[in-house]
Formats: sequence, C-alpha cells, structure tokens
Amino acid sequence: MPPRFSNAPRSTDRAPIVLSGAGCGCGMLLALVALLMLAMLTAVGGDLSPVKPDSTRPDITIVVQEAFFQQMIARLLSGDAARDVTVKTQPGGVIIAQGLVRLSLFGQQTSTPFSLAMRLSAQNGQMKVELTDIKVGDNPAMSAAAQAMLGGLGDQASQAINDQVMAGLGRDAYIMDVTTDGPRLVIRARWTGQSPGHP
Amino acid sequence: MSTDRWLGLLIGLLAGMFLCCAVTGLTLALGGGSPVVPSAQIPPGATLDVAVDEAYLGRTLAQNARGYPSPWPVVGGRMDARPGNQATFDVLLDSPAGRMKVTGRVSFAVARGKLVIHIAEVKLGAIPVTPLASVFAPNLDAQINAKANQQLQERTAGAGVTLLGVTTDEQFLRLYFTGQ
Repeated sequence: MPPRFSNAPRSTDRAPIVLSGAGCGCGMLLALVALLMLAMLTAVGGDLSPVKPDSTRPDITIVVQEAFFQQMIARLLSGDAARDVTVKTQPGGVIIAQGLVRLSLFGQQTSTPFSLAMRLSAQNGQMKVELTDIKVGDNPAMSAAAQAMLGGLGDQASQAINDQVMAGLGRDAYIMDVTTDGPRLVIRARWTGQSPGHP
Repeated sequence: MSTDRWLGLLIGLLAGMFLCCAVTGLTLALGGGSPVVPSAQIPPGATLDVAVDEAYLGRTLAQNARGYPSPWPVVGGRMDARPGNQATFDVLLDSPAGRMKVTGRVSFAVARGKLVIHIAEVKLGAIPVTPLASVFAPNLDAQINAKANQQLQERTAGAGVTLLGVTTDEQFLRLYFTGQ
C-alpha cells in the first residue's frame, strides 16, 4: 500500500551550512587575532620616561601625634610604675613626658611627679634620642640620682627607635630629619637602595 | 565548488568576524574598569600617619612585579598617585615584539585592618583589556594583597599599630594607624 502522505523532495546538500559554520569559526579567529595584534601594536614601543632622583624629597613621611605617644606609654607602663603620664611635643624635636612615678622610700610607697625631656634628631641617616632633662619631685638630689640611673636610656632609646624605623623602612632607610609641627612629630626618610626593576 | 558553497563560506566568515568584534566591543564596554572608589576621609582616632611618595611606590611596584604572573618579564614600573583612593600604573614588559607598555589603575581601601588593593583597570597600549587580565591572571588581586599586607605586617609588627584607613592625593598614598 503506498504511503498516505508522500514526503516532498528535500535537498540533502548540507555543505553550504557546514562551510558557513567553518567560515564563522575562521572569521572569529581572524578577528580575535587582528584585535590582539592591534592591541599589541599600540602597546609595543612604549617606554617610561626616567624619573629624576631628588635627594631632597622624602620617600616616606611619618607623622606621629602626641596621642600616639600617650598610647605607646600606656602600653609600656602597663604595670604600676608610673601613672597620669602626658606627652607634649615642643619645637626642635623635643618631647616632654610628665606624670607621677611610684617610689619606695624607707619602706613607704609614695607617688612623686616627674618630668622627662628628650630631643629627637637625625644624625648620619639615623635617629638620635638625647635625654636632655630629668626631674623627679622637688628634690635636686633625686633628680641627679635619676639622671645617673637613666643616663644610658637615650642610647637605648636611640637603638630601639632605629631598630623600629629600620624594620619599617628596610636597612637602606636614611632618616633625613626629625622635626616637630605643633602637636606632631614629623620624621622624613629616604630609601637609598637601588631598585633593580627601576629604569 | 558551487556558488552556494562559496556564498555560505563568505557569509560565515563575515558573520564570525562581526560576532567576534561585537562580543569584544561589548565586553570592553561593560568591563572596561571598576568604578572609582570614593575618596576616604581621615579616619577618626588615627594617631600616626605614613605618607608614602609615589616614586617609592613605583620602585616597590617594579621590584614586586617580578613575582607576579606575566607572560613576559617585567623590566620597569611606575606609579602615579591620584586623588580618590587610587593610583595609575605603567609597567614595561619585555615581549618578543619589543618593549610593551601596560597601563592601568588600582584602588585602595582598608577592611578589618588590612589594606585592600584592587586592579580596577588594565590597558594594553590604548586597548582596555581588564576582563582579559582577570582571565589570564585570575588571582592577581589576591596575590598583590597578600604580599602588600605581609610587608605591612612585617614593617609595623614592632610598633604595635592597627591600620585604620587609607587616602591618596596627587603625590602620596597615606596610611593611617592607631596604637593598640
């Protein structure tokens, strides 16, 4: 029995479709390569103009507020050796710490006011800390004793601060200057190391 | 080959080229760069701030860039701080076709005491390739952030400070800390 519905004759030639698909792929590839070439062409030949080294310009400027010293001292004096310590900066890189120090005299515990002044400066690329004045109570003898006891503190403080600064900036750091600006201590430093990647 | 086949091939070729150009254009238009981070204010409570000059940033970039994934060796780099918590950068690559310049823009932010650096835009010559860069180096942001925060941690470990914020201006990247 012949089929009820006969299929209409259909073309079996799928080659144009396959070829157009292949052409589409080739076209995408060509366009992608062309775009990449264009991007590379606009990028090739670029150069960086050399940066003129300026030895007067600091690489890093560290600004320390009086409040930071307060925080630092509060952390250092977490024991009960001193209390009510305040820190003030003064012109010329001078820092003054004042407060009450706890002393034991003849078996009696007493709190005595103290004042400690130090000057921070830069010498040969390093930070230098000098203890310029120490006062304990109203008694000059006690102040003299404290001065004798703490005489080496400046060198230790210099070393500690330098270690911290060098750890922060690297061994090639060069401290240019230390100044005070109102209630702020300003440290300017330069990095003297040669960058291998810098043109 | 019959005319139909030639025509099919030609139409396919043109369609492919057009499609590729359209997709590339769309990708570049939509992914040309992240929006600029709004300029941050000096965070309240900051008691110590460090202003880093852009020249120093450039030298650090040139040194560190050698460790980052790149198809060709990095031979130079420079950064230019810009207002709005961002900086532009130029990096020179030593490609087989010659020295190639890649430019771009990074943004800075602070989250939970960590510095967050994001590569917002990358251009190869004049062509923005930010989406391509993220395909070729998907973890670049993470690597840069890990390295930057490791250096920051090493350099501030003894000072007992916490990073509060970051700002930029025409010349400096400013980091704000407080004592712990």
